[in-house]
Amino acid sequence: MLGTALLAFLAAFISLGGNYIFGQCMSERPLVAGLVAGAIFGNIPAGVMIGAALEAIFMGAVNIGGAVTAEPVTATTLAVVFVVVMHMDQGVAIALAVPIGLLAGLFYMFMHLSVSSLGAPLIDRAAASGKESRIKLVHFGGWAVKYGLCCLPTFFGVLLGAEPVSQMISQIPATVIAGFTASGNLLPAVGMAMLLKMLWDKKLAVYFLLGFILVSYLGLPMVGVAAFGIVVVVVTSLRDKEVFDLEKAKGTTDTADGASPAISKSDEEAFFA
Amino acid sequence: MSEINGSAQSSGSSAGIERNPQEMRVNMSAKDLSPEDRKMLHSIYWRSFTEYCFWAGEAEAGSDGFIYSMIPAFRRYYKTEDERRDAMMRHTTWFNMTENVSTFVMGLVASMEKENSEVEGFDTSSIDAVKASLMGPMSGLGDAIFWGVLRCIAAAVGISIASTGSALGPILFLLIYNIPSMLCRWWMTVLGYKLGSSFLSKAYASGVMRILTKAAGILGLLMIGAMAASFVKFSCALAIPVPNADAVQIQTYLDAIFKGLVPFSLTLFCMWLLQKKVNVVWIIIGIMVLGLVFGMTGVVAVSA
Repeated sequence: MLGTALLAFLAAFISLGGNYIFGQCMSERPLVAGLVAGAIFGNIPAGVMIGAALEAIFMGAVNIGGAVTAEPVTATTLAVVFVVVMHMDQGVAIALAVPIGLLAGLFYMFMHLSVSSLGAPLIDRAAASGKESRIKLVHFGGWAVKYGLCCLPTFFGVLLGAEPVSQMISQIPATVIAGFTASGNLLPAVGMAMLLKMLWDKKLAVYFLLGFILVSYLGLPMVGVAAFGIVVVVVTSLRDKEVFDLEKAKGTTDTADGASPAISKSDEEAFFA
Repeated sequence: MSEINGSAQSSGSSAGIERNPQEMRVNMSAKDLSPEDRKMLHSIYWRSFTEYCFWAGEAEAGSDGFIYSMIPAFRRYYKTEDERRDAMMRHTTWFNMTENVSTFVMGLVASMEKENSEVEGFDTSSIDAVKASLMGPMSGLGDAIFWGVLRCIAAAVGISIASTGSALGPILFLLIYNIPSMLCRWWMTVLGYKLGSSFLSKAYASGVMRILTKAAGILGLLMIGAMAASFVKFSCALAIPVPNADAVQIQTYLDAIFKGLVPFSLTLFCMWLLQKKVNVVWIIIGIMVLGLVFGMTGVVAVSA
């Protein structure tokens, strides 16, 4: 069984790790993961068919902007192993794959959003060293470690077998799941704060508030906020340009420095009015 | 395909710092670029495929991949070790954009790094501003086109063939998705670079760069505000029981003060900590623990 578990781990790693090193080429989709697992366990038609069935189920579960609802590779690989190696009924395996996918999604989300955050200081240190090799080490080393860990549920799932897996799934306490989810919901604050720190300017800070309000109160989508922002920016820039041209005509050398505080002030007044 | 490019292109040119239309003679053909330019862009293009291979969580997201992809530009434009190190450190910030269109920003940033290496007193914060302001809108379009439309078309074709057990299904699925995706990536790389190069040097020559830097800063802050509002989620589940009436939801009161009070203050608090030079690891661990405690004790309502 250890050999089978290792092969399943390999299949999951090819599908999941491969997806992220080849530009999110969609090899993490059940269709492809089914083919990979089928090829490794010597039954391509079964693998592809399970993949097709699960693709239809997991169609909506995609990794957009780091928000993951389900992790289909673990689900697909385990389902293929259960059917091809353990001779489980295909329909039962597919039904079992859905909760496995959701659970694996939770685990993946915890790895992807929270645990991976601990790699941030490594990147900082690598960048501060100025050495390309260290960036490469963090980049690819991090990849290998992360997806190695993310494929462990597949490994242990095969090792345990189908029966205990389905039993375990029903016993995960809801509080643990809630804790992980809440943690993932709050963590983007750190990322946003880091961006904010780079651009922070007391005179312009009010635009951060504006962007926040546009989403929290008005519920605008990102593209809508950007369109709104372009209007604001064009209006302010045209005024800045006028002042710039005026000062230039006067022959003042220190143009933008003198102009900028006055402009920002009037911007704020216009905004609060 | 031409439609996809058309829409993404227009978004790119309009969502960044605003540009003077008659100055732009920018297209997606790499033929008129110098061999060195082409070599660099090819290198960035291929490196960009590993962009999110690690992904440093919600703290720095794809910053490692961004730095790795930009190394050809750093190598070419910065002669000294110190300059390269500064460039790398500048890009350790959160970067997250639909991979298929993110090469546009890489091309654009390459042209800005070039400008930075040539012009004395270039304001490097404009590079961050451009990245921050393009992330949201370009991801919005990119996600819709690639994840929403193209992937679903590819999957529909793939599933119908694969349900007979034929390996052709998954293979077609991969081809239908990846061929347009790879082409778009390359065009975006060239487009971003050309747009940046043709525009930036003119902006400097005329002296309006300071106005544009400010404009980019405004747009960047606006988009970060919008991203903070949509990505940081908090909803209090606690309620105060009231005799003979419905319980009072604390979240209702929080919303009455300011909608999104907790995400807003938390983001600003994290920034304040960063400004106080608190190590980012402690902030991350602190937020992780806070979230776990909130979630497990039921302070936070979790929809999932």
